[in-house]
Order: sequence, then C-alpha cells, then structure tokens
Amino acid sequence: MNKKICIRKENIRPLLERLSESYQIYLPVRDSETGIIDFADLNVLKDSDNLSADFNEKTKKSPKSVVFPSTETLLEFEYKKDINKPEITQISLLEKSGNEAGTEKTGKKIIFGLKPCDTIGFKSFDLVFNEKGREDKYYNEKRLDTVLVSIGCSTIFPDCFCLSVGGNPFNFDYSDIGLVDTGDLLVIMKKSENGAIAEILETGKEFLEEREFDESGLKVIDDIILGSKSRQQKLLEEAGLPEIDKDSIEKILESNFSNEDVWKEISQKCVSCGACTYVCPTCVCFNIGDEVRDLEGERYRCWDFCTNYYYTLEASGHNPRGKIFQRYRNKINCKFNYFHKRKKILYCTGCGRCVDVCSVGMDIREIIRKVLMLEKSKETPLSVR
Amino acid sequence: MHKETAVEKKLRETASGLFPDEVECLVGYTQSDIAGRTNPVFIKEKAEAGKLIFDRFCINNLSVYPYYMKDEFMGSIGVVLKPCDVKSIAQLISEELLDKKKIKSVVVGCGGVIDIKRIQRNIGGGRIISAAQSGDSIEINTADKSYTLKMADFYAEKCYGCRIYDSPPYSDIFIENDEKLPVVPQNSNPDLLDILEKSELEEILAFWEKEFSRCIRCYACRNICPMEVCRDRCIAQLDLPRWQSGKINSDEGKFFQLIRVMHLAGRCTECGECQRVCPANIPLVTFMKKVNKEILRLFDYVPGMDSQARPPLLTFKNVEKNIKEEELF
Repeated sequence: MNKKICIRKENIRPLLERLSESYQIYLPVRDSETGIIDFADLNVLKDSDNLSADFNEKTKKSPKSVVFPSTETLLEFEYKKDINKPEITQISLLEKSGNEAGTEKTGKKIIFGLKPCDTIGFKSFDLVFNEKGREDKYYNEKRLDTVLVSIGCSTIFPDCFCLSVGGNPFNFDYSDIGLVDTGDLLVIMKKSENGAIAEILETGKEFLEEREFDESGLKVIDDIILGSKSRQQKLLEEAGLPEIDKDSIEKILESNFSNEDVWKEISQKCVSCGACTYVCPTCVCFNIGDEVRDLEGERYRCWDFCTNYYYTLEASGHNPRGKIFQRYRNKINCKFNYFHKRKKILYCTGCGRCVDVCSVGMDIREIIRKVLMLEKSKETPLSVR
Repeated sequence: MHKETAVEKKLRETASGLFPDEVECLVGYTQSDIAGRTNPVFIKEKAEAGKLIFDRFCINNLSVYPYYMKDEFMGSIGVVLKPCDVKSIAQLISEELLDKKKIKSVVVGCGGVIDIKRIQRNIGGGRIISAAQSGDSIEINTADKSYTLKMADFYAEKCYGCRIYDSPPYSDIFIENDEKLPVVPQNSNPDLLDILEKSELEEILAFWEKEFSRCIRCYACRNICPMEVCRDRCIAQLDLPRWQSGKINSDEGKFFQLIRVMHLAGRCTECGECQRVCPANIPLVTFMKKVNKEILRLFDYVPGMDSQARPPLLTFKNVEKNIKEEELF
C-alpha cells in the first residue's frame, strides 16, 4: 500500500486562494479575448472575468518573467551640484523604490501548474544567476523563495520535443512538487527537500486529501506517465529526432563554426526579431541602461536578444555579428555548444515555444536535424574508407 | 501527402523556366510542419521547383526577403507573390530601395488566404494540431476537439474588400488562378478603426494601453515589414544618443509603435504582416489604416499601386491642393 497526497480538481482554486494569503501565486491563465495563455498573478485572475485558469496547454511565454522581469530597476541615483563649486558633481544612491510592474515583488511565491520543461528552464537560469561567487542579488531575491509546482504533461503537442534534449514529460527532477493528472485528481508524486513544502501542505491541508493507492491505482499513474512518453517517442521517431548526444552536438557545432554556407542556409528565413528569445525559458540575456532625467536617474536592466543587430554593435561602429547568419549561429551555438561546455546541460528544454511563435517557420528541430546531418555526411566517406 | 493543384503545376513550370538565366534565387512558399502555416523556401536550381506550393495558407508576404538578400546575390532575385503582396515590391521600387531590374515578381492569382490566428482566437485560443482546406470549409483539430469552419469567415482581414486578387497592380510574370476570391466576402469582425474613430480620446487611450500591456518589444512587427529596411539602424534601439528607453512596458511599446506608424505613413501597403507576426496579438494594422486614410485624403495617394509614382512624402510641392495653409494654424 502506498499513500499519496491528492488534490481534487474542484479544490485547486480554493487551495490556491488559501495559499495566496501567505504566498504570491502564479498560474497559467487564458485571456478569452485574445486567446493567449500566459502566467499571471492569481489576483489578476480574481479581478477579471475574461480570464480563466488552464493547466493543459503550454503558455505562450515561459514563466521566466516571474523571477526575471522584462524590465527591472537596479538602482536609482541623483546628482548633487553646488552652485559655488560648479566643477564638482556628486552622485549619490537613492533608496530603491521597487519596480514598475507588480509582477516582480519579492517575497514567497508559488508558480503553480508549470510544465516539467519549464522547471528545467529555471535550472538554466539558476546556473547563470546563482553561480557560486557570482550570485545575482536581484535574481536571487526573487528566485530563492519561489516554489515550483509542476504538472506532468499528459497531452503532447506537435511542437513538443523534450525527449530529444534529455527531458521527459514527467521529469520532476527540478520541481519542488511534481503532480500527475489522473483525470479528476492531481496526485503528488514528488516532493523536494525545499523547506517551504511542509508549510504549503499544512496551510492547504483542508483542500488536500491522503489516499491509498493499491497496485492497480499505481498502475493507472504509471500508464499515464508511460503512455505520454511513448506518444512523444513515437512523434519524435516520425520526425527523425531521437535523443541528442550532447557531447557530439557540441563537437559538431564547434567544428562547423566556420562553415558559413551551412549557417547561411539554416538562417535564410530568419528576419532576426526577438520573438523566439523572449518566449524561451532558457534565454538569459539582458541589457543594462542608465536613464537620467534632470538630476535624477536610474539604472535598469531589460531583456535583450542575440539575433538583434544592436546586441553586438561596438562603440567603434564595428559589428562582429553584422549579418543575420552570424547572429543565428551564435544563438544555436549558445544553446547547444557554449553552455554545454560550461554547465553540461543544453540550453533548450524542448518546449517548442520558439517553433510556435516564429512567423516565418524557423524550426529549431529542423535545425538540430540539419546540424546532426553535418556530422553524418562527414562520417560516411570515412566509413567507406 | 500534398496533391499538386492546377495553379501549383503552372507555378512550378514557370519557376523551372526561370533557372538558370532569369533568376539566381526564387523565394516561394513550401509546406510547413506546423498546422495552418506555410514556410518561405529559397529555390536555387530548377530541380527544387517541385517544393513550391500555393494554397490558402500562403499568408506570408514574401516581399520582405529581397532587401535582406540583395547583398548576398549578384543576379536577380525572384519572389512568388500574391497580388496584394506585390504592392510592397512596387512601393520599394518607387522609393528606389530595390532595383527593378534585379527583381522578378512572379505573381499568382489569389483565392483569399486563411488567417489561422483568427481561427485560433475564434475557437478560444486552443492550440491547433491540424488544419486543412476542403472545398469552402476548413477542418480544424485541436488536442481535444474538431471543428468545421466556413472559409469565408476566416480570410485574412485584407482579403475582405480585395479587388486586385486577379489583377495585380505590378508584376513581371502573372499566373492565373482558377480559384478566385468569391464575390468580395464580408468581414464578420467589425472594423476596429471605425469603432475607435467614433470613440472618445480617453477610451482610445485606454484601449491601446491595454493592448500594449502585452507588448514584449520583440520587434517582430518591424523586422517582418517589407518597407522597414531601416531595421538595423533603428531609432528605438540606438544607444548613442539614446532616443528611446529600452524598457519593456506598455508606454514604450506604444511609443515605438507610433514612431513606426509615422515613418510608414504613405508607404505601408497594409499587407498585415506586423499584425500577423505579433506574439501579443496587438491589432497593429489599425494604426496603418488610419495614417493611410489621412494620406489618401491629403495627397490622393495609395501606396504600392504604381511603381513609377513618386510617393508624396518623398517629394515636395509648393502647393498641395488638399492642404489649406490657413487650416493648419
């Protein structure tokens, strides 16, 4: 016999509302006017009648903005001038007055209902912003108190390919709480070491129940997990995209860096906008700007994207990545080569958001296939020899 | 498997005939793995012409590509276009941004194109897993539901009222299509510009405030626009001097869009690409319609209809017959 904590579907909303008394809750919410589904604050959902929670589909954007807002103020400062000593300007910091949008409040947060691939996105972020000795204060003050509650994917969408990049639809490795949807129940399958979990379960215990699962009950859950995996496996086999060998894709990319014709062909359709970057759960790049009005100013950071001409434009006017293919080459290398070298993981979770959002059909799966083919075409003559 | 239609047969034959002498590269449409879409394809030899398709999902305006490509290719660039798309090419030629001699416009008659985003919105936003045309209807499947929709309700906005579907204003080669746009169908969506023009200023502001709250400043609208050849010299991203803040919020999104709109006044051919590619579903074409309406009133000019014309804002006249100086002050 096996005891598991369960949430009945009709109790999700009351549970979250109870938790919202001590946590800020983010969940996937669909706007009925635009049809767009994105992570939103539970309070926004409560206030608006054209929004509804939806845990089945992928959100349009990744949940990264919860801990990495698109714009955040780093510091505010003021200039002080003395009319008697005009040659001296003093700068002093102002008390940080918080950020613009309401989404970036610090404090305890729960992101409820994100996909397992999205949790791997947070891993990618943690590896960059929480690297030992280089901890980013602004990121960590939002991230450290964030609890990730993910629901495994029983629906596989045509652009999903997490198995190819080493994930799987029920990969709860980086979730604080991992849930399996059995139809009318969400069953807690995983609890991490995170100290907040006991508190969450205690706060919400009125809406939780412990159930005994006998062998057949456990088999139902196993079947859901295995069924979903095998459906995706089949899709990926049809698409010719089996699990990528991380070391070998790193080597292929490394050795084909100067193969410009290949990169020109791969990036031909790309118009170098930032849509794919801004929906990506792993893209971490940002820009920093100072803006001054009269004698007061602020330093902020905002998202930036590497396919953008200005990303590498140097002060001299020279741009080492002036052409789209150079920028796109960097994007792919960043995800499958550079970060793998440094952190031993691919900076792609297989969520497929970039495939869905791209208006000219740039398909990262197709690009991976093409890159892997490069190696094969090289190998063939060798094996013939 | 895709079955070759009559118009595709003609298109592929024409395309094969262009190689190797007439064009070095031909941009056309090919099938996509994603439901309800087609992808741009770059044909470089005769043998590849079989990749070309032309169906109701060919909504992209491919005239954005020649300007991107012109430094890569010495010879002529061919583009497969719908009669509405060719307006962008004509406008670029009239502004001397493209060399007429190096562009081959292969225009295909059009039966109207389907706006898959509009379908998605209509069915409540669910992810579309398959989409296919069958006769006058479209078969749509999402993860858990199937729909059969009337095609006439889901054309791209620009198709409603289109009068040039079989008579392009400009072309090098015109391929007739037996599938014609049926009796100028009515748009079931109310015209947003109409509504906004009748609204109070505060309401208009509130409307755009809400729409732009979703803007992520990805610049997809800018980069997909055939007319915006200045995308790598953009005032919105310039650092020295910094004209516009890099912050990502509703105000900055709106501000950028207004700059964009003003510099497309009298140039925009209303192909609708900016709105199609917007990940936030902001109805951007409404701005363009508004400025073009003013341009028509002031200068009696419609962008993209005449590759020989001199665009009114690129020239100077001592007296403009529709602008009364005394009314300006």
